[in-house]
Amino acid sequence: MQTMSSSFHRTMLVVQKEIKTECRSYYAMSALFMFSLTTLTAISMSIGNLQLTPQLLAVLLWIILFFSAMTGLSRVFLQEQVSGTIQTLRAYSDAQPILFGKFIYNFLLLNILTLFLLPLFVIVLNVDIYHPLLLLLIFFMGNAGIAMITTLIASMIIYTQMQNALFTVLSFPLILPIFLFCIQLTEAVFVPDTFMLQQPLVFIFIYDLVMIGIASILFDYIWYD
Amino acid sequence: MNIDIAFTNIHKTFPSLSLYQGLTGKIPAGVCTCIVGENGSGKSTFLKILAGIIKPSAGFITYMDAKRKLTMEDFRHHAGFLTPDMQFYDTMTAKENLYFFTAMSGIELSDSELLELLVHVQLAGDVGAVKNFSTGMKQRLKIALLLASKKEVWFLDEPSSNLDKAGRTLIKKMLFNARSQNRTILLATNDLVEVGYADDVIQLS
Repeated sequence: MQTMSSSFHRTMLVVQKEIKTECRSYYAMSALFMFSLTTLTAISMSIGNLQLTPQLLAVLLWIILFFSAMTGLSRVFLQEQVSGTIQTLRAYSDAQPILFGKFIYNFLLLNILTLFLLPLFVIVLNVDIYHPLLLLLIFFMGNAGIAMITTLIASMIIYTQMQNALFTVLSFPLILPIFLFCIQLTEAVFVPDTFMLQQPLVFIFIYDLVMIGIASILFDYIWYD
Repeated sequence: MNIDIAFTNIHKTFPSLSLYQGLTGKIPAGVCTCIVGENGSGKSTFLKILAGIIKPSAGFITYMDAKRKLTMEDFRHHAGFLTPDMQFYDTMTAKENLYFFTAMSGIELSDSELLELLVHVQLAGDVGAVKNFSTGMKQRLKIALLLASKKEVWFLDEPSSNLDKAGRTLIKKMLFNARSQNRTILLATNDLVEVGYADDVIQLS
């Protein structure tokens, strides 16, 4: 029996497809996890017994996450371009399920990376977390913004040369506001007395929504042009 | 649906190449039109322009269903493709690829329907992941996808390429059935047998 599949169903099909192909190749996973692991090891070995301030710890954590994202998240579109499957997708699919499917996949990947990296970071650098739920919320919101921006930029650079360099250069200015506010918020999680956090949280939330809106509008042009 | 395609004053230029200088014409619904020309004359590019996959440098395409003008997005829901640059996911099987792309085009097929299609294109059985497929087998999978998507307008670019005798017979039957179902077919080819199926020919120079 043939049924029409809804936009939501098609979005989830893209997510499933990404997970399925990733589980059979481990291309993005290995890039993200190996980068974060080696960076964390390098940091822990270089600082030795030095006690880092909460601000420095927050900066290090988000730098590891940012550069890990830069190594693996562009794959969602680059791999389609390299293998030629992007032509089949273009021919048989609307733009929006592709954008949101790939965004959800990148978001999941970043959250898995965070859950992998965070305990290691806490153990290796001997960090005290005073507000764990708040930290998860910060990561959840920060990762959503990073995933949306990197997904959009990845779709824009597939026909260019020097894709990896362009991906980082174009993503960074857009990620920077999220990055700075997340560092500020994460710093607060590493100290017992939390200061006023509402404003940066609201800012990240609004920024995420704006980025999702802009990406959704722009992607139709990117996809068909 | 009966979709007429009209193209007006189409130009396409690349940085070091100018392909067309004002192509104008009409492809009526239910007609098989062949686009022929030498290698590099821009047959595939013209097919993609007509399909709305790439934009012309100048000029425009109009899609009309009876007297209603269709938007590009509307039209794309009625267009099926078989082109050499379309590829499938290497790590997935033929059935998984077929299910994914048909579902993405808005049609969800049952297991038995998928199997029936794969049998039709002689890809049934344990053929494994697409990475183990020959070029001809991938071409057969493209045929299955085109048939499964049930589109009214077909854009075919060298459909018989890489196919053996049985595959060519499959294409012949497919085109015959499509014509009897009053589908609009645009065929970019230099194969004289395929040109023979056409009602109209557009010669690119």
